[in-house]
Amino acid sequence: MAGARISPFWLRLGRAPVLGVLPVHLRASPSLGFAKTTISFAQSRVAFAALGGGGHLWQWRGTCHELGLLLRFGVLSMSDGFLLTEDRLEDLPGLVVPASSGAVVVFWGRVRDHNEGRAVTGLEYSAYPELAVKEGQRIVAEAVTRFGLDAVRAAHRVGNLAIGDAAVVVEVASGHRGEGFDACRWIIDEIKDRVPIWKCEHYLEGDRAWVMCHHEPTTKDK
Amino acid sequence: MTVTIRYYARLKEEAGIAQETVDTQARTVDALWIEAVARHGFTLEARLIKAAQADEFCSWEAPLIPGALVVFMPPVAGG
Repeated sequence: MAGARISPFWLRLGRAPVLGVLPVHLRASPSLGFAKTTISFAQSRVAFAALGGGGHLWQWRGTCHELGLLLRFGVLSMSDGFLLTEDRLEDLPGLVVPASSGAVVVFWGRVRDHNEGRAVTGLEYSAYPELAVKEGQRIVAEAVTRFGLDAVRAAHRVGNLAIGDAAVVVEVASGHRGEGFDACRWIIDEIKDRVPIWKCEHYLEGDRAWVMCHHEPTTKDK
Repeated sequence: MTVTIRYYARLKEEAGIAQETVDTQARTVDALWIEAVARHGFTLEARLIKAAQADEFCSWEAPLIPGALVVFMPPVAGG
């Protein structure tokens, strides 16, 4: 995807724990050309390697703050990816939408004040981060292929959330609205079904409970 | 062999620990789960549990890798 973008999200990474796997497009210099790679990051250290134009291996290691500067000055741009973060999802910058996209569909999953007849005062999300970001990234990559999307980003929040907070966001850019709606629905359903994230509800009466999904698991049958 | 087991959500609460390193006679993920149930008295049925080894989903029949991290997961509830 072309187009540099200043991303305050990245600039904040140095202060907030975030896990994610994001393909990025290197646009460092004409000699490197455009290369797609994957960065993995945890806490404040980042490392990635990319195969540039002519087979040149481009490697970089640094802090998230430094990565933020690379993004800010257009050395890198961010595209399709899945994020797991303790930060407010409402503060994420918008998806970078290519000129070819006629539709952008966004789904926000929010913390509701009730569930199954009980008053809920807040939620706690916990994740198996190493696998959650891998599985989330696989879902995003599958969606791009399956629906022919221009760009996708999904993010899930972990930690303690208040009523009304966004727990998950899925953003999809596509040529037309049909595949956009279909893809957005498919992605959120897959996230709920496959990504190892758990929700603990805190109730008005002071007790709490881990929510159990009402679907049959498939791993043991595979 | 020795493996490290990690529990999440309801399993973590039932076990009272997030992680443990055990010396086990088990050779498969399935057998390791049965040992864990005997230790912690988990109430969830095995068919509801998913397992991962070395940070990837694995089958119950998967052979244990010495020293690996094995994770038992109750039904997920993200979103």
